[in-house]
Amino acid sequence: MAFNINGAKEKYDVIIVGSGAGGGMSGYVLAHAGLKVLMLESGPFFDPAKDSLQLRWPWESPRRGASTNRAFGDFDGAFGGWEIEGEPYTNTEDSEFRWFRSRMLGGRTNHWGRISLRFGPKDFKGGSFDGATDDWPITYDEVKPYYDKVDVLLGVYGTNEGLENDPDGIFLKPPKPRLHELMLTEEAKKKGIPVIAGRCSVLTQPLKNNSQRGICFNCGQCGRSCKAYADFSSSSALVIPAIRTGNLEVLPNSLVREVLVDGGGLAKGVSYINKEDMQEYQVYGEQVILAASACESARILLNSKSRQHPQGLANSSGVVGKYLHDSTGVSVSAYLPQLKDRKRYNEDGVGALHIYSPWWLDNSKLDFPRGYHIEYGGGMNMPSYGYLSDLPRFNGALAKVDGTVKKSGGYGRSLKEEYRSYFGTKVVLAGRGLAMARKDNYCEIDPNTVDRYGIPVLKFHYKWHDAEIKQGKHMQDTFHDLFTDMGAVITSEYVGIERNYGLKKPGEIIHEVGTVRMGDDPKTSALNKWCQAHDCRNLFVVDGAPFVQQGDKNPTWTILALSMRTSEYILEQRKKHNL
Amino acid sequence: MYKMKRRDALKAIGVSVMASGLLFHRCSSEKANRVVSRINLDLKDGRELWERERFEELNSYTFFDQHEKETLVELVDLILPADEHSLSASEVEVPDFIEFIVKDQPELQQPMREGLKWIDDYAKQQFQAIFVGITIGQKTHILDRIAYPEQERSELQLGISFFTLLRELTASGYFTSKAGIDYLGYVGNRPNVWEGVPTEILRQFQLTHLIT
Repeated sequence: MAFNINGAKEKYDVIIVGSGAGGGMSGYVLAHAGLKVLMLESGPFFDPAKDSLQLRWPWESPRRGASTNRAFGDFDGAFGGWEIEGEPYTNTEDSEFRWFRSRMLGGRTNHWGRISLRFGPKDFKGGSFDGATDDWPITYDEVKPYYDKVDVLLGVYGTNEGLENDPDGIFLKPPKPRLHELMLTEEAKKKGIPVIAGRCSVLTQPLKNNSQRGICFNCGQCGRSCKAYADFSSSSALVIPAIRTGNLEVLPNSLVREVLVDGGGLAKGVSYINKEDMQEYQVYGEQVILAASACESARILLNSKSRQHPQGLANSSGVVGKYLHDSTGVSVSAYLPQLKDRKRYNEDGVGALHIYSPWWLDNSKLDFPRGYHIEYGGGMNMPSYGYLSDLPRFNGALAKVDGTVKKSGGYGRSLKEEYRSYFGTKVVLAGRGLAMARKDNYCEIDPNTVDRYGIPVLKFHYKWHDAEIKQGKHMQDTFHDLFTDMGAVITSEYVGIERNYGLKKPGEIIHEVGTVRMGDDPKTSALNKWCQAHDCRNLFVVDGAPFVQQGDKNPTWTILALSMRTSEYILEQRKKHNL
Repeated sequence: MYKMKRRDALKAIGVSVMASGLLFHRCSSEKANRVVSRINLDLKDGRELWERERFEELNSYTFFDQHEKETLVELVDLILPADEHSLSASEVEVPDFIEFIVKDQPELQQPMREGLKWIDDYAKQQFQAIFVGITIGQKTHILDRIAYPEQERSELQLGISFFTLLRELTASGYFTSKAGIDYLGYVGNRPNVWEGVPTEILRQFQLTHLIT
């Protein structure tokens, strides 16, 4: 395909690639400081106030909410998914990484779980703590002021517990637990598993000095992105306020191919494909910030080959694409027969965790490093496609709890009544844990495949190792024990080692990070501790790519804190004319 | 105080829509105008263009023929019949939902078509007539043999798999309809104030000690 390359006349102070958590925060900070910022987004503009499908009923979707078009259902706030037509990626033979992309303003923050956990001191310095992983070049104490500022700027609920590796924050009041959550809490506590309030970025109270964002009205649908701006979505909470300053423009439907460099090897702008006319364009800025998502940013850098940077930009060390890691995940579901025929009331609550369990065990007694946290789901949720689809397999076992003998399956009036009786009795325990950053889990450019825009695609190499698999076994065993001891009817099959004890495939938890890692040594890292490229001082990366090593914590709150920190550093360095 | 703030939040739903409209009027450069036109092109009713086009395409043809549709109506009403308090599956248009979903998920087409053929063949073999032509007693005789998957009847495997799939689709269609949701008693999906589990429920389950 032949493209005309169209150069722009205007030059911006800063070009930001991507509008999710990292790009949104950077745009917000820099636009408010008065810089002229251009943000390129590969998908459409999305304003939750106008475009969210919040409060729609299942019958308003002809597929009743099924996930045919959108990976998390027809009303979900993420456009895209693990597979996007015309935008393939490949895996080597024994690898099965799955790459979730959400191409829209705000990216994946429009639908994420809003679980906003800080990394703790041991997460930043895991290597010094137990030697299992690499240390970050920064400590918790260096990042703490930014976590604090993010808490105040965006809002997060929770409780201060004084836990060593699950640091306290500046919290709004958490939502109260639901009935099944109390039952699970009681059982967990018997087993010594601590249960505390969830920590999620949903406004349960008004946000100080912010009249743009409403407070939560308990519809439980944060996954659709909130029309009242009561959840943290980068679109509503960062990018749209940044546009209001008059200093930030968004170019939607613009997929970046590469970062352009000048004769001296410094970044001068980016080239992108306008998805509407399929033409290639160039835009120029004094600094370039990549926030396209961990893998997409790595792809852009690896595709940015020049005479000055023959291995791709910021890649003289060869580490770009390496150390890819996604959280581990295991889920186990069950029916709680004690909730049969429960009284109906509205318990939609907040569309994020009401309770959770931070990691609680002593690793000296375990066969894997560090651990996982537990997320609790269930309740009288709005019915959707697949409503109690497994009930006819378990209604025999459920009847047995009452002492009656009955075959599973059936039809007719009695089955219809069972579908009603067991409404709101399904619960799920989900573990999210530490995956280790390894050099041999990586992505690279596939020399044989391009996407529909003619851009070379990524090829993945990713395998779980012993540490993750043993942790997965521990999760599955813990959840089965908890359910069994409280008389639940477990609906998840117990998975053996042949399928890694039920560990989700890498990429399925959508916490992938690590592909453009930071470090003090330019030989073993791509970025310095300010997320600034060692090889190119006016190039920065502010998504999950700079992470050295994740913990069992969801990455978003750390992406936000680091992006804010890097953006303030850029402002400082611009003043000093260092860029 | 809390409730007033909540009202403000609800008001914000309307206000935000207006505010975002104003937002784009303010942009004046050529590039900003492109932004505006692209927004309008991209999303209508919260759906991307390709989603809307796909919907039109799926609705442009019919998958089940008249006979298959009649058989489906009978089967879904046997699975979820009317009772004193609720409508039957066909009365809440479950067959139309199944017509849509097999086009939306084409991998369901073959099992559904083969299953509908299987049930006619089995009716003919047992009762010398197709499924819609046999008595209610004969119909339930057939369903009793395919509605309980744990029973080992390998010669009926195709019928059992078909019935399992059809039962799932019927439940999906029924309990996501307005009548089905009313029948279940789901009372959410509206602005609310969640203040925790009602006290009488805590007492019923002896969990009051967990509330601080």
